[in-house]
Amino acid sequence: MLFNSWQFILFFPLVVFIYFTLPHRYRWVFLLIASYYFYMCWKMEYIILIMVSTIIDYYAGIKMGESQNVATRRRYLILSLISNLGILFAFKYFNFFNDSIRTMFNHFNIFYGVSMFRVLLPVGISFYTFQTLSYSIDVYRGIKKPEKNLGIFALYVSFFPQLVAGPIERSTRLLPQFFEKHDFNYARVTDGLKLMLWGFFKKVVIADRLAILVNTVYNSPSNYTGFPLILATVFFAFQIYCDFSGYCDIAIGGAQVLGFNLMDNFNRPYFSKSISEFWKRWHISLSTWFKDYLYISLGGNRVVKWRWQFNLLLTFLISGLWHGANWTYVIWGGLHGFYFMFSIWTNKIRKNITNFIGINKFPRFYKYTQVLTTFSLVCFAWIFFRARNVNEAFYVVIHIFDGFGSMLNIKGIGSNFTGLGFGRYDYLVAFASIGFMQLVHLIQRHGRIRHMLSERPTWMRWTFYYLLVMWIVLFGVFNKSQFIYFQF
Amino acid sequence: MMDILKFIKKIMFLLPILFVIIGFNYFVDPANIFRGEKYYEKIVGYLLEGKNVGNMTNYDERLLQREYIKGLSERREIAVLGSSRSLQIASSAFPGHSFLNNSVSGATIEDNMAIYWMYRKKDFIPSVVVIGLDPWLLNKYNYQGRYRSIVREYQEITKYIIGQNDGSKVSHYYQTKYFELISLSYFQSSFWHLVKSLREGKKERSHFYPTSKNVSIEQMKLTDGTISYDINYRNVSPSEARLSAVQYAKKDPVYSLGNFTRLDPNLTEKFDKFIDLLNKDKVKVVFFLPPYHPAAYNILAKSDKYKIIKEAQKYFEKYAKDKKIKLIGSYNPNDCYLGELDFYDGMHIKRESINRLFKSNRL
Repeated sequence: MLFNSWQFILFFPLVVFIYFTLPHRYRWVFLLIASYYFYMCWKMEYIILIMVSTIIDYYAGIKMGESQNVATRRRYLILSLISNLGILFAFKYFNFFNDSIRTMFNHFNIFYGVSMFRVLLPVGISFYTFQTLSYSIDVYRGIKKPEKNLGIFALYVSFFPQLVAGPIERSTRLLPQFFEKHDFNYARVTDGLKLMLWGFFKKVVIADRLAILVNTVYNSPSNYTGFPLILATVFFAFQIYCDFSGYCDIAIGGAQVLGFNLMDNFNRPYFSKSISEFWKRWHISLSTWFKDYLYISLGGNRVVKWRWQFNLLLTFLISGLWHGANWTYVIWGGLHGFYFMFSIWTNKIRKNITNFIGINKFPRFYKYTQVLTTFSLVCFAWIFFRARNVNEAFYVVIHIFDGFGSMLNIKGIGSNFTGLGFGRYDYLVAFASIGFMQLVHLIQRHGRIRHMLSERPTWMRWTFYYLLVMWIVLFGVFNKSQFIYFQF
Repeated sequence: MMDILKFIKKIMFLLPILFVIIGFNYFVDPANIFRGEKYYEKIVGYLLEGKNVGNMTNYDERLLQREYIKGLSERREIAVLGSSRSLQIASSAFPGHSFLNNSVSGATIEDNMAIYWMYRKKDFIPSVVVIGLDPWLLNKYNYQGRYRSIVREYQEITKYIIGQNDGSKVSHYYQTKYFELISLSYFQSSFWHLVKSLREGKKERSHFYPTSKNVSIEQMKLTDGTISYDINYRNVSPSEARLSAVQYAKKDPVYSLGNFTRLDPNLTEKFDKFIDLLNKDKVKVVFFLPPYHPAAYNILAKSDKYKIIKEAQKYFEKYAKDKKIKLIGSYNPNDCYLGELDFYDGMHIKRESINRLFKSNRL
């Protein structure tokens, strides 16, 4: 079930109504049923995968909790890791590695007979797998006591607002909330609904509209050179941000209506002044997951320098692969890893240059330069993320500045914007909506806009709500498009 | 409890938005969904008087077919059933014969069967029926549900040839129709339609009108059932057509060809039973495989996802051979000696070109 569908518009209020009507002790049962139903709307049989993951991790958690013996605990951790990563590998990565091996064998004219695994990728598999893995690792590390109630644990794995695209919640944070009694709280419910509304705005007004131009260009990049490639790449940067953060806003807002607090997943990432800051603001639940469970497990930065940099690069490469079974994602992850390392290598030189030029004497200008540079680097990496294959990504990279001179010709400027699947109306809506979103982001530096709004007079608040709803209704793209991160 | 009451009270403030949406969709109704049969009777009235109808953009093509066939006073010798890809087959290709093109956009087997049933019910069975065979006719996942407008006829014909209803319900049509009342995309169309009408200051601009002209700046419905496209679409340049062909073929999924991994056995069976009925009715059947734009065909035929269109063509060709049915055209434009100049876009062949094809192939 998509958040941007009529089914969800009917499903969600019904769930909220029944949830608050039921006595506290039955609520988790109801939420579990609702969550399973939510997932089964997509493909009924794949609920079995979630159930298998749940049972294995529940069992492994209980066994780890019962034993004080490190070897025994490790054995159950390995059981959890192998089963979860095994399912993930079979459904998501088998064909990718199989194809890569076949290509290599074909290159050397060697017969390779292992056929493809013809199966649909289960929606959100990477998200719930990582969520259950974090539980097993936390129990193994002794950070979390094993959950004894199988039903509550099943709900932790499948809680519908964040089941298919996160935020990837930690058991220490989410599990205890299922035991708390949540009353209907006007302020909390309306706050959650406002966040959901903002999420819908980002998804249907910005992301789905930008997708029209991005898909036109990136589905046949060889038809374009220069400006259209730049425009499509910049638009993709906003598309993916609005698509994913929009989803998260709806998820976090929806959970908040029910009384649950999910972690923030985005914090105005395109205002970052460096790549390391970008990763503290983008997909926070995943980056902290990789930091806590992979990077630190590898030794983090408490190792020799070369090993530290290797740990960094490996973490980014695996993070890229997490996003999708394609070399383009691996390169995307690798590029970010490279940015990170390059910033470490050149830290001193950059500081010297900055002092020499004296740009840091103009702090605001210096900050804008840093933000723009970071955004450009992020956009460059998005090329690999969005392109359908490595060849097309390199085509975009090679031709992105072709004809740049003619682009600057005043007479020719207009022609750069045509033939990209966007009319004047689309450009107007897209730029106005992005501008509005960025303005809200700027205001958010001083606090949450929802809280600021609540301090305003009623007429002002309701004018704002009405305008936002009408903006969504009039300028949204209602084609039931999937969220990009569902495929991960 | 106080909180709940306060919440309910506040949420009521948003209800006017819902009423505005419903009101716009019902009263502006740019696609004429809620205007009923009278609306189509008027259009058909002009067509039957021998007048073409201008500014025909938003209407239910299937309901128009129902009214048109209902209003016919004499049998047509040649009828065309198919999608928009067959909609340019004009009467001029068959001089000396009475003719009606009954093609509707995105036609599926269900549409073709239902429209044929309209002729049969009226006892006006044509001597020749040309069927435009799009590959998606055999795709279970073509996601074309527009036949629901004429689901009554579809139910009757399936009951007649298969002996039972295949699960389609008349209520599906009404569900689809009334769902448009709260459709946000329909609200956008209604809103901008109203804005355009107010800006242009003429109600007629958004309304159809009878005319003796064959072409206009707007789209027209001609008496022979074909469409005369609007000026921009009609005069598309070869490079624009090529670009839109490439975009069409690279779209994922390609129009109605998504998840097309095999020729659906239920659809092939339905198709077979339909052709058997035509044979039983002593109708001369002619198959037409509408060609694709060369650029689009090259992409589709090479793509792993869509090369099944070649399999669909083979199926239709073998079927035609086995049943001794004349077949014209090919999805591959090279087989028909067509080039980039012969297309409006990736999948729509130009009027002159399609009629040249039919003139060179006597029925």
